[in-house]
Amino acid sequence: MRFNVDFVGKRRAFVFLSVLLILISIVLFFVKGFNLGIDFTGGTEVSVLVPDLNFSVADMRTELSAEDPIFGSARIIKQKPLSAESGQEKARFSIVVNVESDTELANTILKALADKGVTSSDMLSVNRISGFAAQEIKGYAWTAVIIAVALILLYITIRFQFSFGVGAIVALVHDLLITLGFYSLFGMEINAPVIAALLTLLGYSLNDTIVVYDRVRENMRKMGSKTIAEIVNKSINDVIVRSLNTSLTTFLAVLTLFIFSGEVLRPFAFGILVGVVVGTYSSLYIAAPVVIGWLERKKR
Amino acid sequence: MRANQKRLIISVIVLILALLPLLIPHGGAEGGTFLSKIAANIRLGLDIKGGALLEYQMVTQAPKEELNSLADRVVEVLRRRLDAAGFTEATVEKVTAKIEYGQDIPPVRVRVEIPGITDIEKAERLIGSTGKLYFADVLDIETGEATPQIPSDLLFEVSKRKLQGAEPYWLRDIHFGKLENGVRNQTWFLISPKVLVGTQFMELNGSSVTDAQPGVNPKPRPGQGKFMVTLKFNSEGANAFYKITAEKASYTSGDVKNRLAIVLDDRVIIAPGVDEPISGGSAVITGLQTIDEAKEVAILVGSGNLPVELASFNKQILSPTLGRDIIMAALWAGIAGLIVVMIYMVIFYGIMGLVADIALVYNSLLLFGLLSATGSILTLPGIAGIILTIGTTVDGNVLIYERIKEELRLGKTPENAIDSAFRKVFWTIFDANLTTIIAGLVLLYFGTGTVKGFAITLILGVIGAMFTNLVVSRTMLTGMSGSIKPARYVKETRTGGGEAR
Repeated sequence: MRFNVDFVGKRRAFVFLSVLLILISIVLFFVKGFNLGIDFTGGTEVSVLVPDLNFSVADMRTELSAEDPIFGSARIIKQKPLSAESGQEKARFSIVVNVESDTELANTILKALADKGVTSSDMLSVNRISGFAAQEIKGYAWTAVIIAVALILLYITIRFQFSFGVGAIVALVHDLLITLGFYSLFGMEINAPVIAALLTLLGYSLNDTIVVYDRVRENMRKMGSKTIAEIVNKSINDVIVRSLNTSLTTFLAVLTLFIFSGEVLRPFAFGILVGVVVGTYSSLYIAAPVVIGWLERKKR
Repeated sequence: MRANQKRLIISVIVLILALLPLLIPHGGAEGGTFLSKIAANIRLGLDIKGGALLEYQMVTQAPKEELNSLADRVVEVLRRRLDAAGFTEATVEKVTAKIEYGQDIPPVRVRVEIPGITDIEKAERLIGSTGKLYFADVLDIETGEATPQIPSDLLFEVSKRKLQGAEPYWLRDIHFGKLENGVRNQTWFLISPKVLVGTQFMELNGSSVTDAQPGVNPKPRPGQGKFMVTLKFNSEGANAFYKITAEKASYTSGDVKNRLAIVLDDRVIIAPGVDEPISGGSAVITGLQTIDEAKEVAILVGSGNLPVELASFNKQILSPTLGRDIIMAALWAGIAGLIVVMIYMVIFYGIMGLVADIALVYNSLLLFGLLSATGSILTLPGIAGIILTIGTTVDGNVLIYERIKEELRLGKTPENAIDSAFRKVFWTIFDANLTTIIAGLVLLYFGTGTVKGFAITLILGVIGAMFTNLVVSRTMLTGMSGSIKPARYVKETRTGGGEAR
């Protein structure tokens, strides 16, 4: 399979599409906002089993609110049932209160559900993050993303040229914004592992970008007489089969993770799924055109 | 061909080295079946095997310079307590914030990890209690759900004691809220934290206790709990205890002044009447209802008290039941992902795809071996990292195959094509993977908790993928170069596949 498509000639259309997607994402940030997990807001997340399989989310909210009104605004999700140690199948609920509370909410939940036959052994998990801890996690997340981007820019500048680094960073920011836009659009939770997903996505998108750049560098040596646009176009055609294959296999592997891994890793897998698609697109259609623009200007 | 033999030997040796830490039991590994024995050689995070992670901040006004030594003392006391309570697998450590993001965030914390624990409440009581034991005067005893009022005839006494630095306060009974013989315990004690002996106030607290042992009370009073704790005092404490009990015994039984309260943190364990002066430097706390309760009191008193109060900073608890459910889901995701990718590679690249599949399995074994050998902790995000490694390994192989095809199209023999493809592709793979490693290292440094596990598997996986691609895949491809038909690719060029412009 070999390609010979004029990618570069249509780059204005692609840049337009990207700008449009980024604008939509930014509008979503402000209008719809994010579904931030307790890692970033502080609060309590409890997973609990209820013997009555027909117990509904509304029932749960009524029972809990009667004990403490803070549960009125809690996010309650009924998950797939789980077999307890006795082998008996029980309904499983996830209860998230995104507000820091002074009282021990896990105990409150136990107290409220005591008459439904819920005991402390039905408490599957408790995750309580204080406001200070959330503030620190948020701080680490920002610092990690900024330091990673800076180090990567440095590395590409050393190994390639500064203009390549700029192209890669433009592509990275593009990927981050659009992926975050998808998180907002689907109301997918953003928690600490999602930051890991975003950083991996940076690494991945960059991986693609570097493969394209590597080819551009090689072709610049080989076909010095051609224009930069022609060289870049040839390079994209050279590597596109590899880019698509790699992205598709990663996509498939992460898709199984998204489907089978359950609620805990789903937000993480979501980010990589979206990121792989956006990252492949950007390294072909965004990172390369930026380099063309930059190098052509320098030539003149 | 000789170079390839060298590569083959290296590949086999590395594989054996990777399998050794997996197969040889270490780190107290126990397991019934062969697979569970292997699994026992990998340290699992609390988010997989279940357990509690409790992080506490210290409630203190102490200046910043003293926080570190304060935390060290807290760690020491907590370790003694957890050991005494039988949580031998628990770890206690001091945590220092790498960067301070806010004035109010406590920069020094204490983190306790207890794997496989089911009784969280007990653990939290053990850790959270300051363990301050002291003997005190009782001014009044009342019952009721809410804090009682101070009776008017005691107001003068209360304000007098307040001036003398022994301000009385209401404390609940240790069994407050529990049912005892069908009656809910609602006992409150009005306590003055020092003991009045003659005209002088005396202090006696846990710091003069040298030993505390739980035991069974041979002669419990009717209606009283059957367990007790025996305390041994140092000579100074013994002396003070004698004076205090002599003073108490001078009042008639039934008078509240005859009672001596023993207070642990903010609960009154017991406030018995004193019949006669006690010498010999030993006291018993009786009236405890279960042996566990007696043990707990003995541990709290015997391991010394915490220099500060602790407040919850973070708390993550996972029951082993849910942990099992989660790991099974993640395992299936991993296996399904592996199989789907393997099938895809064979469909797309034929026999060369098979090489990629073997490389995938090889790198997975390598990764588990590295995890086991380095003693890294595998967390749930870590499993996600392993699944991502599948992508990285395949990526390297795809890059190589596309290059080999190109070289074949130029009319090279398969062997030459493979050689020059690997030469050209080396730096591409190196540059591309190094950026992933950079992101991984940043995560390893700044990641909190389980995210660190992700960074570890990502870094180890990418390094393993580079080795697998550049050495193992090359060995296999060179070995089978005879079966690659260059004519197929040369022809493809001539007919000019793809979408022509």
